[in-house]
Amino acid sequence: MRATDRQYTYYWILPAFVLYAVLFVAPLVIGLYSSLTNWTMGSRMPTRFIGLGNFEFIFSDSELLHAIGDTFVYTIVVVIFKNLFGLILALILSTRLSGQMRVNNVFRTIFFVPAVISTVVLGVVFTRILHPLGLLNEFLKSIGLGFMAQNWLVNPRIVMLSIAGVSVWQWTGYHMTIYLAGIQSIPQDYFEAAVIDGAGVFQRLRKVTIPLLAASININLILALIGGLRGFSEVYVLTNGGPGTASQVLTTEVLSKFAQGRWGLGTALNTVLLVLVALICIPLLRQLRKQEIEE
Amino acid sequence: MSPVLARRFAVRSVTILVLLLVATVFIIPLFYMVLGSFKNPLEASAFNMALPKQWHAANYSAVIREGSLGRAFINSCLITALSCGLTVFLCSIASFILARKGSRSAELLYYFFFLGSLAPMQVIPTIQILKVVNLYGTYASAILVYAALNLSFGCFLYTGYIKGVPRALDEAAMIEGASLFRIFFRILFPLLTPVNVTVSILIFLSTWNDINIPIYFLPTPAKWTMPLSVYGFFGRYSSDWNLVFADLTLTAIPVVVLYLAAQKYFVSGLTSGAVKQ
Amino acid sequence: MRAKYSVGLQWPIVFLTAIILLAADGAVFASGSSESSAKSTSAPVTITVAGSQEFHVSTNSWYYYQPTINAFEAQNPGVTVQLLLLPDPQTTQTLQTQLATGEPSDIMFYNKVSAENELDAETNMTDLSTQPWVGRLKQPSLLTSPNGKIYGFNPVVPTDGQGIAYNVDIFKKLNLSPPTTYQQLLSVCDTLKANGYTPFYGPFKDVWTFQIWPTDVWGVYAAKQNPGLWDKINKNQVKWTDVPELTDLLSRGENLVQKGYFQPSALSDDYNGAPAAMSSGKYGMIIIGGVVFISDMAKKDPSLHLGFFPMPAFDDPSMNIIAQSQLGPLLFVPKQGKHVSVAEKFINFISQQSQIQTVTSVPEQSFLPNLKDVPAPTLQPINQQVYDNYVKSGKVATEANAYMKVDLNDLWKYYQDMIGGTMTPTQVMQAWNGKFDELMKAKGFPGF
Repeated sequence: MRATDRQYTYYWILPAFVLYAVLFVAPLVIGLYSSLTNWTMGSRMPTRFIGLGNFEFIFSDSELLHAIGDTFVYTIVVVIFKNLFGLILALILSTRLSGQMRVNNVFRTIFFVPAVISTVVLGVVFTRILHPLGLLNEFLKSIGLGFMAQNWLVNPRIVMLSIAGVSVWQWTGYHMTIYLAGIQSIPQDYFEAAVIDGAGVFQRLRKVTIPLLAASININLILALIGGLRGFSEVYVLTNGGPGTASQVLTTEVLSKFAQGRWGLGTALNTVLLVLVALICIPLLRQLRKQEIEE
Repeated sequence: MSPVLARRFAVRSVTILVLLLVATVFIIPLFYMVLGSFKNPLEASAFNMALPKQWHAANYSAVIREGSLGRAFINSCLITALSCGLTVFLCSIASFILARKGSRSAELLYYFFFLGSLAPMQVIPTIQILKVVNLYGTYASAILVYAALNLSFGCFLYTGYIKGVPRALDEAAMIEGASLFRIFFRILFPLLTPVNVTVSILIFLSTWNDINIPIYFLPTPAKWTMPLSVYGFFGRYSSDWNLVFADLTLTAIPVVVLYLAAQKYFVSGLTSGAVKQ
Repeated sequence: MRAKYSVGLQWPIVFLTAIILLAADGAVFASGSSESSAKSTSAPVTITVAGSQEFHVSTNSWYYYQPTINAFEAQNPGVTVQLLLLPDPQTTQTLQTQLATGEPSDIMFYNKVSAENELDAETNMTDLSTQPWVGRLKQPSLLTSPNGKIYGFNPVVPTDGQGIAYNVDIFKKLNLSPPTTYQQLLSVCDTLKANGYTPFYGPFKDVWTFQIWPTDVWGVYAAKQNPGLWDKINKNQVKWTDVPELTDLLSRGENLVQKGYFQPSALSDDYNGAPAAMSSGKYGMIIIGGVVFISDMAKKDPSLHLGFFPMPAFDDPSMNIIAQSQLGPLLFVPKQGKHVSVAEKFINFISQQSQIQTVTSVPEQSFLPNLKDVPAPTLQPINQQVYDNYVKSGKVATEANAYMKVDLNDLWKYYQDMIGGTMTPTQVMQAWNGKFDELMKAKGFPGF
């Protein structure tokens, strides 16, 4: 602990802490209790404590296990591509490559807009675009890539990838925005010093930009992970877990259980999701924080 | 033209071309929505890129009238702006301490806050707690719930960025006898402008588009926000898609305008020369 | 120097003040509708009528008819009625949450059987059996719950049914008449296909569309040939796989898919695309869950002529009757509502002869009133047809879904697997057997 640490008083954390603890954490803990019961809406029996019964069910049900697997596949794809594309776009749009700042601003906004679009539109529009006779396949045919045309949202082998694609489309601009803020926070001196030292564009990128973007990369990776593991709306509006159960993910299964009135089981499933997300994100966070450069 | 100028021109043109191509991919789905908002009900239900035979701008006035969009817009602005502001304020001051304090407790608190981004909201217990403090059903309950939900994400973003601001600045001010207030509000906060704007926009976005909180916590149509207005225009068996698209376009516009306007706050350069190594 | 950092504190104070003001609510940001307190009675009361957007097809809904609302509010100064339309996917959970937290809307509108299963109507809703309008019902059995009481109000004798809507012009051109047996249906489909038409438009991306076939034909089968079946199934005295006719009828539906009578992209097409599809004239028929599709299309595309006939799934033409869905929506009054008496008063008001008549006097209704003193309105042509051909002569059965006490989405998802070819009808029934047991057990039904 540094000498000046004493000056930073805990009191400033208090308001945030109180609000968060009362309106989020407390309900969470209370809610977690129901995952240990057989609470079912409209049940003829009273609710009773069943210990880990729900969890035993979850890990022996093939449909749910399949959903867990699909969730992972989906997450890996979105994390990689959202960050890759987001970073590239941010890099291009933070320079003067296109000439004017105004041009940059317009493009930045265009790339961000998909994040603003309601899921209703997303569902209706993309189910048309990804239809076997829809825009995407027509386009592929027109440029001679007809053999690549697929039944994007029906073929069980690629449906999760298709949904991932839509999610990447929607959120790349969002991640780009975070990268932009990070890039803009890098003091100009570093770049100037690098140029003086004779570093080329790619060297500057590797040695200056990316290391100093550690915080943004960190943030974006974690956000994309959380977004992927807890992804719901895009799956729901594009396929609702279908056809059949080909594209079910954990969150849609949770909804399905709630719709069946099995609130105890649904909460248990949510708890499993929470533990999974925590197990992946917290160690990653700790690892990444160590690499952050602090002055 | 000199070779340098020619080269710069070429680079610019290529860049713009590439960006335009990429932008097309982003824009096409949006065209479906905007075009559809000007069509008649049957054309709109075809969901294609065909131009409307007639441009029915009246769809927009119909939607504003039937969906009470004026009131919904005000509700959205109110709730979103206040929860956004509250979250930014609480997060920035809390993250300041979390980022600077090197103690174990601060570390634990950081992870404690982080947990909120991982866990889903539990609606029923939250409602019950709000009932205890007699706030259920008020605008304040929605604002506080949004703030509570976004605190995790906000603190996460802020802590990351504050760590990137040289601690030396704080220390220099402390040596001069400045209070914590002064250090934060006068020195640090202005430096965080790009981050402030980013966080504000992201929280604004998630709050503006959210329908879950109003449904559960504001069961009064007069308090409902813009995204919910669309549900008056389509049912399972019968829908007026042209109106739906018009409504959704109107709902999307404020955030887009805000984002465009916020661009000028993404200024580059920070503390250049302020602290010499 | 000192004054400078007080600047930083300004806006936090503004926010906190705003929050506190809003906590007081209502006072500062009052709702738009009138809250006149001119009357001698208590403070202004607002009752909320909550339910799914899917019912809000037009402003002519009998349960939320603006002239009626206005009249009620005029007669009861200080009382306002407002409609809370919930997004369809969230409706059930929202209403369940309201009931679970003790903060329900004053009136909920919901389907009858679903309310019994999902909202536990018998426990949560006020018993309305002694309300004045009950005595005026022509067919009180339509509204009676299994325990004999009435919990919801609905003035409708449905003139609706499930079945098949067909393109009259195409049929005429090919000299086809509505089939009454399964064999005739197959032959109609072959003719359509041979002439370049796709026999059926199948919006099977939505899970609830294909299932109209089984729920309809199973309902008809049970009504005519196996009464008491559903009761036995619900008590686990009979299993789904014990009744071969159920599997057989399901296979007949699947057979239509196998023979290519649906468009190849059926699993990618949804119900939203149905209007455009039928308008295009490429399709001969479509399975519908209610004739409202036909009356809606008549408005959207007057050049399209749609007719209606029951599902011809049987070999015997006398089995060709329509199945009807569960009744809905009913207006329920949650017991824990804050203004139960006002809610009951509202329902009483709209049930009055004069009020129902203001609705029914608008021509082209889709229902007949279930009240003795209200004269029949002029029906929409398709509803008149359904009434004349089927309802009047009792050629109706209740769909199978209306007897179910659990959520059926898993079964409907198996249907999608079946359409996609990864499950056979037999496998579907077997898988459903297991699921059904699981779900019934979770709800604590005896025998499981």
